[in-house]
Amino acid sequence: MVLTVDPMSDVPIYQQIFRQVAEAVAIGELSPGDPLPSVRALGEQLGVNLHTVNKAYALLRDEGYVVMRGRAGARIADPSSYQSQAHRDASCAHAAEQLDAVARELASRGLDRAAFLGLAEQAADAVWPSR
Amino acid sequence: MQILMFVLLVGCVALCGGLIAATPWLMPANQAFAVTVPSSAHDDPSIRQWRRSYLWASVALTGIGTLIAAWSFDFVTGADENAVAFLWLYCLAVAVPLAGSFALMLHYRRRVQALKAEKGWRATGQVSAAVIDEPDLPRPVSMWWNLLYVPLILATAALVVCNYDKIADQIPMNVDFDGTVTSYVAKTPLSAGFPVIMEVFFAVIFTFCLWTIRRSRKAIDPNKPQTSAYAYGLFAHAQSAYLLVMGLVLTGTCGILMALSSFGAITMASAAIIITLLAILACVGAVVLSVVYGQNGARVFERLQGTDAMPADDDEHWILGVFYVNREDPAVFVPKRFGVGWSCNWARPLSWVFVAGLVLLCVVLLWLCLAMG
Repeated sequence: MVLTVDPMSDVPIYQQIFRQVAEAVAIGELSPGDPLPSVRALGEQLGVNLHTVNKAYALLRDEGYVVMRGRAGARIADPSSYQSQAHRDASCAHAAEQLDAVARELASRGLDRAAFLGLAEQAADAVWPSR
Repeated sequence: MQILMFVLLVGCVALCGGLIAATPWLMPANQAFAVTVPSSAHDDPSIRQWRRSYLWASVALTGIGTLIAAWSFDFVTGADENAVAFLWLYCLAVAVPLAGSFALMLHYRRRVQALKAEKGWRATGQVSAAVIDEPDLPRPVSMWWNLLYVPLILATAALVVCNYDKIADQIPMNVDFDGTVTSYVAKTPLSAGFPVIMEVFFAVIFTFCLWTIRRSRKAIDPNKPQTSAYAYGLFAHAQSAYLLVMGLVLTGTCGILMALSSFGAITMASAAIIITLLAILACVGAVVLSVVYGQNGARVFERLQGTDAMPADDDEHWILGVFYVNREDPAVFVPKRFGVGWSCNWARPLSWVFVAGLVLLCVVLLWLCLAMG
């Protein structure tokens, strides 16, 4: 799995790391038990402050994607830890807020319901390909 | 013996100068004379012309250096003033291609920077990449292999201890280029054990160098992360394996031959000949490795299709194109920008600690040499 960060992006670096790891887990690029580099190794490889990597790892742990196994370091967690009902409810609530914001913005640009649903369909196809 | 030393000394200048001259062709496509450029710029006519000009000028400088090195050999006799003249001349022989090529690099670096501004080559961001959980990627050899130095050192120590009584009261320490012993030291446990001390010194140096390769940031191009990660992995693996093997061979050979010569099993001149041949082999091997793989594995794949994209540009952190200084970067060791190998991030205090440690190690060795008398 290739992880890239861009300090010039509007998205904070720790969020970039978090999103990419979460996405890799979602599409199966990372599986339960797969190791992640140590904070120091990843920070040195990306040229990123160690505190930033620590924040990303802390967020990944809180969201249940990663577990710390002592000297073995960080590993991808079992799906049950990030697919708990509590995590699902929190993700749904967050997604609802973001969708609401996107819908309002599209409406303000003169786009209609069909356009919004079309974009949502494309995004869904990218993550959950039609069988 | 003299012929061998001549080949070693003159050959080193020619070999190193030749490698320096070839350096622009060994660098990744997204760098030209230590300046970040789009990989498509590798075939820019101006940059191609500057590479050729740099090559011929460096070859000329190497030629001059080689001639000076050959001339310096005229001063190799037993007289002190000639030895001093030889040393000064040989230093000049090394300095001419080294300093001259560095000045040339800076000259063409300025030209590339001007071309970059003129063409509007700008990075779209400061993207960096890491490859995670790819166990099949080649990597540097394990540090555990360095434990092989232990039996080597113990064997040499055993050789010295078992033959201590056979060691002469005056141990030969230096030979001139004719193979004639020029200095002796009195036999003491310290002087008799000097081969072991040298082996420990070499083992520490080689082990540390291998550790820096393992610890270094990997050169991964965000435009082609998988191929660049694979190429770099091969490069780092080859360099680390060569370092380990030559380190063991050189360390063991020097130590054991020195020990054997101390109690007359072989002459010091014979020991010097074998060590010299090995040194020549080591130099040639290192150059071949550099040319085959290129810096960061740049020559592992046939030149891939260039792209105009520049995902990152860290030129501002490379002072004079060769000294990396970046406070925001936690990496201590990074791949070199112009040349084959690795360098330090001089903004990290740990870099200076390591350099101080190496200097201290050399001082300790020197002190031990002086203590032997």
